[in-house]
Amino acid sequence: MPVVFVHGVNVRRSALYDQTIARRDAYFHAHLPPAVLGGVDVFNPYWGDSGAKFSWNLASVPSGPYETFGTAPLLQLIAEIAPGTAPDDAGNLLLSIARKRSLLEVIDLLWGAQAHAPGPFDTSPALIAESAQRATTYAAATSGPAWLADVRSDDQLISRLLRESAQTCETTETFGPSEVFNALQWAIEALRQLPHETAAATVSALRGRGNAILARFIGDACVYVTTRGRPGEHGPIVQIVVDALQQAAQSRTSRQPLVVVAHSLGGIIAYDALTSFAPTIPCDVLITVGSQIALFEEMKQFVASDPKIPNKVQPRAPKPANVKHWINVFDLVDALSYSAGNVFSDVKDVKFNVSPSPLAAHVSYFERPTFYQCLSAWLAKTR
Amino acid sequence: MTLFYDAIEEDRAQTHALVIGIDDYPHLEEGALYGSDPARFPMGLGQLTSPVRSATHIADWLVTLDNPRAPLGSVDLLLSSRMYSGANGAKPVRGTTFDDIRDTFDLWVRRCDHAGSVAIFYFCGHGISTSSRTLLITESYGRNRNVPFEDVIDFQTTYHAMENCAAATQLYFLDCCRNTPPQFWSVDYTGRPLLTGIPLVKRGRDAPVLFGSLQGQFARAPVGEVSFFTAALVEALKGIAADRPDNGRWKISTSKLQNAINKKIERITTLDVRCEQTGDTVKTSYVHETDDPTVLVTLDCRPEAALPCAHLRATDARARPLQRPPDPAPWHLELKAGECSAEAHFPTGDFADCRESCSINPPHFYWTLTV
Amino acid sequence: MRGKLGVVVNAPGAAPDTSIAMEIFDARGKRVWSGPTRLNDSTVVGRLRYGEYLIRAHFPSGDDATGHVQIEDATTTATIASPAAPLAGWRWASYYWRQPRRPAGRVLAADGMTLWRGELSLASQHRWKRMAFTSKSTDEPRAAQMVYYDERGQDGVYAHLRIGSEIQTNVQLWLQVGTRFFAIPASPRTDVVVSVATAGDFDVTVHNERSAANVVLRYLLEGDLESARTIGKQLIGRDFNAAEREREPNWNPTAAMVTGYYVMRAAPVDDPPWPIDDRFFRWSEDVCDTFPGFPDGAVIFGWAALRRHDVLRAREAFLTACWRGLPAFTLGLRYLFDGLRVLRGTTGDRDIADAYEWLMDVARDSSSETETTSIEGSRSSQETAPFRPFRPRRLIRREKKFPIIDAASARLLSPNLEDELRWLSVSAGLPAPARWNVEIGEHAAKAAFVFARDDPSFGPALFEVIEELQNTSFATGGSRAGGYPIDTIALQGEARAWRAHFTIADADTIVIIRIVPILAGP
Repeated sequence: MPVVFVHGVNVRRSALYDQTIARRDAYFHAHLPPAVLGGVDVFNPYWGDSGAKFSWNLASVPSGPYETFGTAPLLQLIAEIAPGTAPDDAGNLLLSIARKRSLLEVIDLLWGAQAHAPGPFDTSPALIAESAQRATTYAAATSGPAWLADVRSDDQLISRLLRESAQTCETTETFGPSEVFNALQWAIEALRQLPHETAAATVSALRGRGNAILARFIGDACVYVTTRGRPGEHGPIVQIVVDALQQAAQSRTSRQPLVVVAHSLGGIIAYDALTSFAPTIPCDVLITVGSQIALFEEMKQFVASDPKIPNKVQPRAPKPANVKHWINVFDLVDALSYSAGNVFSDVKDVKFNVSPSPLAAHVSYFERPTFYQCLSAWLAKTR
Repeated sequence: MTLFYDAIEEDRAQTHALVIGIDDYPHLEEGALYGSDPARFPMGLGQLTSPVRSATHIADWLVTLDNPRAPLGSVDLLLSSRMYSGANGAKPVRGTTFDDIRDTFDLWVRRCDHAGSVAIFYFCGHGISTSSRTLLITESYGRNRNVPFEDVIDFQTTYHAMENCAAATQLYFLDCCRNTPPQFWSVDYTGRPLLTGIPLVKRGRDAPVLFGSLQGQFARAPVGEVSFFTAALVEALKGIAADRPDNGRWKISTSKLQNAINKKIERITTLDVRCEQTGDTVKTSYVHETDDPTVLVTLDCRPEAALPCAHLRATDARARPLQRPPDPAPWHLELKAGECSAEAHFPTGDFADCRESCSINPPHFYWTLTV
Repeated sequence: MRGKLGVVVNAPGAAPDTSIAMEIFDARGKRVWSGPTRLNDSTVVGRLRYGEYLIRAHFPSGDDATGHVQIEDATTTATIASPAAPLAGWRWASYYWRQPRRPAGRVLAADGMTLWRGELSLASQHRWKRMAFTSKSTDEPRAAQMVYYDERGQDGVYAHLRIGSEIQTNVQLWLQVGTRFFAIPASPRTDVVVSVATAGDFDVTVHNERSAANVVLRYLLEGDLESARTIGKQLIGRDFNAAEREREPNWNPTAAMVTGYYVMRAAPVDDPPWPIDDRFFRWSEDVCDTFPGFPDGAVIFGWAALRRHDVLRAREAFLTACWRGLPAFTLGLRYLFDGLRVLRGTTGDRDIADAYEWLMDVARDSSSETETTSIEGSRSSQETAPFRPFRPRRLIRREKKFPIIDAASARLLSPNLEDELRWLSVSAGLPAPARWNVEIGEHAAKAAFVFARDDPSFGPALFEVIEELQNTSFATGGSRAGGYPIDTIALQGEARAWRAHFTIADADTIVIIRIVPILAGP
């Protein structure tokens, strides 16, 4: 089953990019049911090199006290996922969250922390993603399991969670802890060693610099609109995405659906591609995440935008003809995400709580195991 | 408690083995005492199902050991189940708490203290490791909350102290994980050695240590079955690590064990399992003799297009013909060392039939039939 | 009827003069010949009976190359093809590498690598500098330069580092890839290839101009000890033999280290220098002193001393190793851990305990799969050095800075410190007589040096007494701040003996004594 992921703004090639792709691909593999739909192939068209370039390297962004230090990403994670929580008397943060809030938040926090603090281990992303999938499925089905009362430490909580959520037909054992537990231990330790008093203080801290994120968004959006070209004369960004869509369409068997997942500006590019630049490619499911498609349509900035809509006969713009199902995911707090149902017909809007922080939310969707859990549920409903 | 195998003769060079297999850890997760008296650092460890089977498997083989220069004198078998049940019937055996192991170790070392003797130490169970050393976790681990790593064996100190034992050949097989839990990242907890001392006399010994995993990696086993490392180890000891240094019989060589084990592991699992050998040696020792050395053969055809349509047949010195119908992948089989023949037959006539004979040696032979 | 057999193992691209281990078996599987065979060259095996034979060549990568031959004539030739080498550009490296079993998830990037150069100076400080990469080859003899090479084969990306011919003996090199540090043994004319290895970690393959060292090291790591012994004879033959070594203008440090590890790990009991005797002891002491940039030499010397039950020297050697840094080879790191642990278990020495804790902390995440030491850098030290230094309290060290100086011997007597070493021997070259007198406070113990010198033809010596890790250098007169007045250092005595007195302040005084002769200026 081919999945085309169209990335959003502010994506530039680096070692971090490779790691992010590996992680995201692994989560797709783990959460999209391959047995029914054949193998999952993820296509990641990269258009970052054709995006905005800043001649003074974003010197226009006013500098402020936003220096990040080593523990910042983890503190941010806590502030985003479980703000205001503190470890219990024995120093157990995760246990405290599990008892006061929910296991799902524990999972988002710990697996998210593992991405930032993988330690010296080289555990395969697939193993991490699969364990996240099992854990979220288990946690979603059993809220507040009884064994939570017996657990005394974060280590024991995670070990027990992994075992409870593991598939019963494990065929091999290791003469030590499981690989996944081993990999998560570093993250558990990293969380344990955080200065939690300062966690509350970072609730308002933005991930990176807020101005910088906005600047890149504006930059990439401008560059896209001015260089996208026309049907038949594709601009560089459009060409990259259309090529990937064609590759994906060719790679599948007749029974496999083609899924396009597009984030932020990627949603705009994907919409343009599917409506104007490659209108014959059949897309079974389009999932736009944190995207501004409806806004663009309100401004009539798409190639296919019809200035006569809305009118009495057609109060909403049509969903692209070659898209069977369209799901639009947004977070009320994400300043750059927009709902689509009031502007387009036949689109399902879904709210997803990512983070209390307006711009941090924008970039965090794909870092949450629970997001993929929801993704697989949405996909299942479309079948 | 009696020995599992006892043919001890005093003042004689013999082979003495100490075999330990631990499935049950009462103070670890899902253990019998976990609810009332859990280990202070469970480290994500739980109960196992393979070590007792693996230890039983190697003990069953050891009683067939054939080494004229150091015949088998004893096998001391310790199992957490306290009951042996295998090819040699069923009988009670000693347990695997730290004290059990230490007491047995003391007697074993004394038995081995003879210049020509061969000392074999086998452990299968939980293990952890830092970059500098390996700790073997005994059944009673977690018993003492105040000294949490009291019931853990400090292997390196024991190993160096064993240089004082006169046995010139010492084999150590450690089938355990070697990952580093976070408790060890900041504090150097030490286990307890089974033996201490700086070597007083530098004799030199052939003392390889073979691990069932690489540093930082995991030893694995199919649930309830013999572990991959132990299964490969026994096959290596039976014949894959065989050498023929003179006109006598085939002899299992300590210098060939690691390679033989790894080549066999590749055939029994695709999981990432590999054996690592460390330890100091001053010579090659021969610890077993056999007339049945095994060669891991991979049979292939050139040109490559011939392989998918070839009916392959192979015969070894036992005149035991093996066959395989057409298949695109090379054929992995095992043959006895010596004169062998292989043939490729093409019923469709796309290629000419061909047959080759040659003599092959352990551990591995890649045979390409040129069609 | 017997005939001669000539065997050629073809290994295109292999470095010249590389020998690997080969065995020949008869039709019944008995080994009839084993020995080294030089790649791409004919090895003649004489007087084999007519019949069928199996030839097996063991490559350091763990691969075997086999072939059959039928001897029916007086002379027969057999050619064995080497296993496939995936890297066209660095075939020689392929023969050393184990092929990865799963695809690597990581990739090298030029901007993710930094080369660190550390110089151990007279002042006992390590000076670390980052070195820039160049992308063109240069013949600059002192250079250690990285040529980044992007060959995206099935396994990933490679980088090539070339070390010039005049790299100094007190230099250490470490390569930082991401947060991981890899030791690069700084031997002259060395090629290093960094690649992605099996576990996704990076592998550093060192190709030294002495091929036997490369080959033996790999055999040791592969556990192929028999092959290591076959080629190890060549190493011992050259490296151990002082007369042979003297003919070689520059002693190759990597080869020396590998020889030491080979002896410790696999050298056969029937070959020299077994049983461990004076020869190995003196040789390893030489290695330790000649290459201050290599902690490995000190580790090997420490074990040679331990084998002779010379606990004092072993202590000195292991602490020297820690002071110098981390051993360049993973084997050395293991041996250092073991050596410190043995001493820690049997002596109450605080320095040893501290050294062990330091090592545990700094080398906590070392990899056992790479042939050279690989550690995870700690965040605090990453900005200024690959790892934080170790400073022992009490350590008597000596350095042979000028190889042309004759050996002299000196003894340190400290009779009043019960838990201290009774006496040690220090060797260094020394200059013409001068008067030196040293006093460091007046407390419980007294220590005295007695020097005996062989050759009076050098200029005045600068005798450094470094206390509390602070460098103090003085000629005559002068004092230093820090609480311990020092007047003059006088070496008194006849032409062949000098005595210096100084007082160790108390049991916790840290004294590092260096004897460094300076040639008289023009």
